[in-house]
Amino acid sequence: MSEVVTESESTGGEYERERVPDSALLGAGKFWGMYAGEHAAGTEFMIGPLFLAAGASLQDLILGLLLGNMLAVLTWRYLVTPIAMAKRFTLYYQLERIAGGGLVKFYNLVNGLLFCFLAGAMVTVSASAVGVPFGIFYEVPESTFGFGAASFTLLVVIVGAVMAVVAAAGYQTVARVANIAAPWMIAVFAACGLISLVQMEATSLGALQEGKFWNDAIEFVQEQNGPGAFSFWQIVIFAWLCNGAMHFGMADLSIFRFARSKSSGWAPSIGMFLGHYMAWISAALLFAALIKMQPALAVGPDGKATANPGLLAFESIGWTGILCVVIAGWTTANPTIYRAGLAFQGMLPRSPRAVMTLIAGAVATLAGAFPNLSAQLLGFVGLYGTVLGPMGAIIVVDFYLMKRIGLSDEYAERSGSSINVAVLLAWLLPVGAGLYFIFSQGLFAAYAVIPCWIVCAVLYLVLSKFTQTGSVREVA
Amino acid sequence: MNTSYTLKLVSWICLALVLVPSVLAASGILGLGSIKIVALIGTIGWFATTPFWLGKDPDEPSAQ
Repeated sequence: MSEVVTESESTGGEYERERVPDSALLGAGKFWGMYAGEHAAGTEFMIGPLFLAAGASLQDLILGLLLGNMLAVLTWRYLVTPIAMAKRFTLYYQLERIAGGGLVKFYNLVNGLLFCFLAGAMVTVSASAVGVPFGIFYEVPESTFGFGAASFTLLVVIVGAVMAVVAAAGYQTVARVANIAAPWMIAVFAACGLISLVQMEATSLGALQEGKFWNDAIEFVQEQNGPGAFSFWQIVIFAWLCNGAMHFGMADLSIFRFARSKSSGWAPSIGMFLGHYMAWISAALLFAALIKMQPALAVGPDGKATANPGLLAFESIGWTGILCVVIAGWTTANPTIYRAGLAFQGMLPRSPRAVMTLIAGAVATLAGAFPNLSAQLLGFVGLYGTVLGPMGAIIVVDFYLMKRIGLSDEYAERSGSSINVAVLLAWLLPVGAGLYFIFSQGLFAAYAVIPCWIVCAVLYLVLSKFTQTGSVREVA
Repeated sequence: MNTSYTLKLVSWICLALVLVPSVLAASGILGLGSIKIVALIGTIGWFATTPFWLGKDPDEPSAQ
């Protein structure tokens, strides 16, 4: 899981309120390079072990991630890219034309807060690595909003403060470090997986097919944490929708508006299959290897099996692993904090960006101080897609259907309204229902993304029939 | 052989130092003993050399 921030967005932007001109279009290679780096994030070290801890079988993981990532790539290619290339607007400007400036400000606030929680998980992951040499370990308390050990909380505050200050200072340096680190991080992830297999003496085809090392690890975790199961379809849906805000939610319109050819829409495949396939499986193998080699280190003081990303990487590949977790967390937390700052600044346009970024950093650091939030990352990213994904349905319906059924597209722009009530209700009603099922009924969060998306699309069409009244003006 | 080419070559050799030993270990050719040190040497080499060429404009003069 990671955040994608285009250079134009990050630097305050170019073509933010106009079509990207033909002279600024980019070849497919740029997109492949960007997605390769952006999806090898610090949180991959956390998500991989969570699959094992949740009880996913190795076969389901290998096949489920394959299918889910293929579906994600297809969604980027066939849902996002055509609209991005036809309109060539940022997500925010396109939403503003459809939903109105007032509603986009509210969307920005929600988006910014979710970014902060995501960045918080990255702060936690980085702190877990920084703590290893000092003997400060990541522990997960019972309560969702409970602090870990005081020493770990202090470490989170230090790491979070450094990240926030760097993000407030600017984006370019971090982007450059991220570009340089990307091939190395991918190599480290792959090396970690291979070393784990060697440590578990599971390098032969027979051992891999038998999967005893994996089953033993699951048995160990479930002895400590109680029984659990994570089905094939949960893996598929999670892999498909963990970046739901980016593809179903259309956030990556802001990226693909620069695409010269539709083939650029295949670029996310490199990020998916390196970051969300190879890296997740490697990280899960790290946890399995730690359980086999040093089971005592895999159990926290509360007696529960817990994946400590920094420790996992250190036990596998030493200081290189520590550096990888820190850099992977830093290079992805920074643009996320930066982008959250921009979202907050969208709410208060006169406020300095640096101040808003520091506020975003403070919120992210606070979130990072609750280790249970990052331990619940599988649920959080599903929640992220559930809340933001349906806005993409609005854009899809507006682009493909509104004119065909005799309604106005980009209604807020044409009517001059700051809040399109049809969009507001079509977004909030299914998201509210989705959140109810997730928090009250225990629904796996990623399962709510597509139903909310579909209901939002239908509601937007129906409500627009009733709310689009009076004359509208032509827009460019 | 110019400096830019040499730097790229050193970078890729360093990246190989991070990954190849684990491939050899998985193939049973190498033990796990020295992998951590070799990977760290590769890491230092990668970050010491790559900033001079990765992401630089091809027309821009490289570090000479």
